[in-house]
Amino acid sequence: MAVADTTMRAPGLDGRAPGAVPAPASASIAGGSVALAGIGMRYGALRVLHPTDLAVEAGEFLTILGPSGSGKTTILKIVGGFVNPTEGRLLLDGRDISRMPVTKRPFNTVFQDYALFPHMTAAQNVGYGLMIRGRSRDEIKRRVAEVLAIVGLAERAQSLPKNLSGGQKQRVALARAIVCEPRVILLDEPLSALDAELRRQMQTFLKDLQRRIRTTFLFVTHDQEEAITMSDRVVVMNHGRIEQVGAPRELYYRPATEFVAGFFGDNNIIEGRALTGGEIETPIGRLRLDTEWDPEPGSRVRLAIRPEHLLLRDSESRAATNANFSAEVFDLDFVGALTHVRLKVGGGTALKLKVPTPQLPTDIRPGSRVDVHWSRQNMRALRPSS
Amino acid sequence: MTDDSLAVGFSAPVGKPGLRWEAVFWFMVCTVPVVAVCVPLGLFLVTGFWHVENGTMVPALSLDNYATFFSNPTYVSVLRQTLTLAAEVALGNMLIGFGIAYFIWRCPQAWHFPLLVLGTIPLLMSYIIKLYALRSILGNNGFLNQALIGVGLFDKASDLFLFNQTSILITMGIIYLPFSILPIYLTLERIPQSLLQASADLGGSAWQTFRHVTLPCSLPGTVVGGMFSLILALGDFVTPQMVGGVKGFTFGRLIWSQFGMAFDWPFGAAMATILLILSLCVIVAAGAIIKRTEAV
Repeated sequence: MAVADTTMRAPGLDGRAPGAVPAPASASIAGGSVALAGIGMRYGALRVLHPTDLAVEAGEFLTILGPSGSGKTTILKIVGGFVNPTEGRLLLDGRDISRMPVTKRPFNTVFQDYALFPHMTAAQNVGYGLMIRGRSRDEIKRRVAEVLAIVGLAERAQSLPKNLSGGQKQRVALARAIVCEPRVILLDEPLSALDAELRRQMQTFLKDLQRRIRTTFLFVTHDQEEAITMSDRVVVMNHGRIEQVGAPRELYYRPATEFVAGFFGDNNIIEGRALTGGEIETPIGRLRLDTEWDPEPGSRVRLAIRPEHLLLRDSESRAATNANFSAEVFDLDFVGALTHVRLKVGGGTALKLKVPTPQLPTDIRPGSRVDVHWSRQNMRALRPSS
Repeated sequence: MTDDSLAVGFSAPVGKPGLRWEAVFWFMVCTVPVVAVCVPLGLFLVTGFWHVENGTMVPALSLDNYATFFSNPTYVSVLRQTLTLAAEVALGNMLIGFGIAYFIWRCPQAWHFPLLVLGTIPLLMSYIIKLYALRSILGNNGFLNQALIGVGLFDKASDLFLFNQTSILITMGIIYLPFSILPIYLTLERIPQSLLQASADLGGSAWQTFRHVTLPCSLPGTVVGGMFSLILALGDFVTPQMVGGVKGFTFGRLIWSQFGMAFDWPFGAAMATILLILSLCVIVAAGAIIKRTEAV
């Protein structure tokens, strides 16, 4: 990812490389910190958000990740002021803003469908908030030009939304949200309508932009890849509750619950039963846990380990090794830099490995026997999800 | 050989009836509009260039009918009056129709359909019955006069509301209102909720959102709503006949009189052609306005 220096590049969506732009006056926006204190939402008997506490730090890029119906958009709408929570308080920099109407909140939203005003040009869309605030014509013109340059759309200023591509509309919506220098920018799945390549460009762009203007970003998505590539911290939600909050690496390698483990890509799941002293009885043998969570003896436990954490053969360090298992290779899948290896260990349990292709033993083929082992720290016991 | 017979076996049951139905379909598509629309229209246009001699139509082409019309100040002033009247009906219905459509749109979603039905149910009633009903409401002892006296605005019953241009204006306005409400409601309904949210999000008050977002976005439907009322009012001759009296002479009645009383069909056809051209101008103008405002 590009380093946040004084210049920045907008994704070249027009088939040309947008030029570097000078740092605008808005470079010194300071983000606000938002806190949800017991915020919950109910529609009649239907619970869409259980009482939730969440602190969004000033200037951070926080992503709320979850499947549809998990309550992530509800949180965004409550923070934006579009719906009133049935309980709890909302704080901005420690001040209660629960009763502040949407028009007065120093937040701006990038909507999922962009919500550009169809009868206004890109420049008029971007200048709308300033026009509403009664700024002078000259100031509006200057600020709109600045912000459109930041998003790399200076020459499309006079275009109507219907004449802009999806990615361009996206950037107009973004420009419209940052031009009023809000304390927090709320983004409601803004990339979901873009194709894969454009989405990757916009991810980098958003992250760079956030670093530069230092505004707090509250981003909602159902795409786990998007969440881990862009965010400082990720909140994983399911069924109206927070499952886990943490940095992307933490969620990826140290999932706390079955849901989080399942949401972030591949995981080898080994079912077992807890014994006393942190040991787990599994079909492939007794495994030792290295975790703060001590499951109730006799209870069902699921263990998760990432495919890239499984190692073939024995390497020099065996100190932290949990165990060494003999396994049979039954499938090799070459995907480029990595090769996916599927093994069968004792008791018929299947394990999946991702091995850097150059490190793969040359004589390995389906049917060959290998030894597999892993480090105990990389194995997680998962709590059942809510 | 085998291949050939196979091919025939496949195409015979599927291909042939399909082909026949397709021919019938295209025949209908091409002939119905021609026979039902183009031919009568063409006859009209042509008849407008004929004239009447001793009670029979003479098919000799000339522009005499049009010359007669435009050289007679009485005819031209009737046309001008009718244009003004229709424009007033259209303007009034745009305003009132917008008010009603906006009210329905702002109500809870579940009420929209019942309210719309309520607003458009007069369309299910006979035109003539509605006219009689309005006549009795607007008349000397009618509901309107009674109400105004009851409220204390008038001392005695007024004949301001029947058998003049005002009565035509009120009646046409009421009868054509549903035609204005519907298109306006439809464009309001098509405005994405997120646009209104975006306006509020950027600090726009309820009035600012209405002024800068709702109103411009609903302009196409409002123009169409006005256009419907305008065109219907331009050609109407029954309403003026029923509630207009002697003072309420309109262009529609003028045309009708050429067919029903003067038996000068060519002159009537020429005036109908003028009406048609005026209506087309209205549609083209409305289309231009919509094209300029509609950006979706």
